[in-house]
Amino acid sequence: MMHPRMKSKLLASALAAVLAPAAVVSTVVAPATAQAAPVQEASCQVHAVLASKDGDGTIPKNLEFLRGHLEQDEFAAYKSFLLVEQKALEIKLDKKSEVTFRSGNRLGLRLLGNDDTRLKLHASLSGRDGKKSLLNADYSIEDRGVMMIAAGKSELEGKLGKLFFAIQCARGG
Amino acid sequence: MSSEPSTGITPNDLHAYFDDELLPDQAATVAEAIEADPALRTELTQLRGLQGVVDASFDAVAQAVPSARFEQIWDEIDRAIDRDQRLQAEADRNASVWTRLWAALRPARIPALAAAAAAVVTVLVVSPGSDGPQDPANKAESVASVKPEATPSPSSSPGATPAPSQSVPDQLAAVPTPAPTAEPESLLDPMPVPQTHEAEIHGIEFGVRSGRISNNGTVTVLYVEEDDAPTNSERSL
Repeated sequence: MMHPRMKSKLLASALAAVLAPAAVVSTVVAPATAQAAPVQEASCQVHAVLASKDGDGTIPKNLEFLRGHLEQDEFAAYKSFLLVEQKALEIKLDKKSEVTFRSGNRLGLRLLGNDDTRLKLHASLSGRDGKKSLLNADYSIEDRGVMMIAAGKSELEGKLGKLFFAIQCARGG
Repeated sequence: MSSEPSTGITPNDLHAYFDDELLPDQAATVAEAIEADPALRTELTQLRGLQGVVDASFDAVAQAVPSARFEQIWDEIDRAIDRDQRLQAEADRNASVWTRLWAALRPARIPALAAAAAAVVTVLVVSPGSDGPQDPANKAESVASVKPEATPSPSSSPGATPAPSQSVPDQLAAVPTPAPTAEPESLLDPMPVPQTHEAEIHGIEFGVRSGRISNNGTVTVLYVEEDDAPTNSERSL
């Protein structure tokens, strides 16, 4: 029969074996999580792109940064892309910033928060009358990741197509 | 046509006899059988009659084509042959002229090419300066260099009330587009797009019935479709 003191020592050793890794993990991971300091503002760009079904499939130079998106199956039906307009926004935590495009659509962005690699944002889009609300969305995305909003049919310079807004935000100070 | 079992002469034997294709002893045997058998004689007579009809028809065709026609045909063939030979000879002569010319210029090839290259370089270097006065704003390079005005620094006016958004001057309106195919240069420095940029939708509210989310793991697109007619973006300004 085991001596009570020996038994308590074994229990203490087993407990230490279980708790030690947990302590190490918490020591390493907790500061890493704490490093995701709250982002107070972000710089955003919004590109309005007219995607048309007529064309040779060429992606213009000023939309080259969107090639990875525009070559996806999602855009396979479109054969030409035209940069219609581009806007820059500085957004702040919990404060809404808006831009109005020539199409009449108003796009609002608000910074909701962040983690270490992603930004949490709120996007809103109005109709072409600038009043009717078409969309309100909360989303999170990788820093500088692109979110697309397709805002329906549009026409520019006689070219009929679908108007897309490409939203891209990067954390600021 | 039938064979004669009594004489042992088959139709093939009779035809061979008629065509004079039998050996002498075989032909003699067939001849004796024909003499003895009226049916074989009748059949031989029919064969000769058929041959006469065929010969007469060919003679008639030959008579229908006058000899002058044959001469004409041969003349045309001769002329075609002569024409081909003449064309071939001319082609050979032309080739030989160029070959001789190329060979004659062989010593001057490299200096001539060097002179042509120098002329091209001279034209390329000199021509921009000879265009006369131009409005610098109309040059594509200067249009592309307007970029610094597009992104005002947030710290440039610390005392001023920060605007909620800073709209970049519209490049379509600012850049003159002499040709309809000219593409506007991007005034904003595009942000590098990360490898993984799938958006995660936490909450969404569509103001239209046709709203939907499309996410293929790489691209996230929120579709909203207004129900009214397409709008002319230029006119909407």
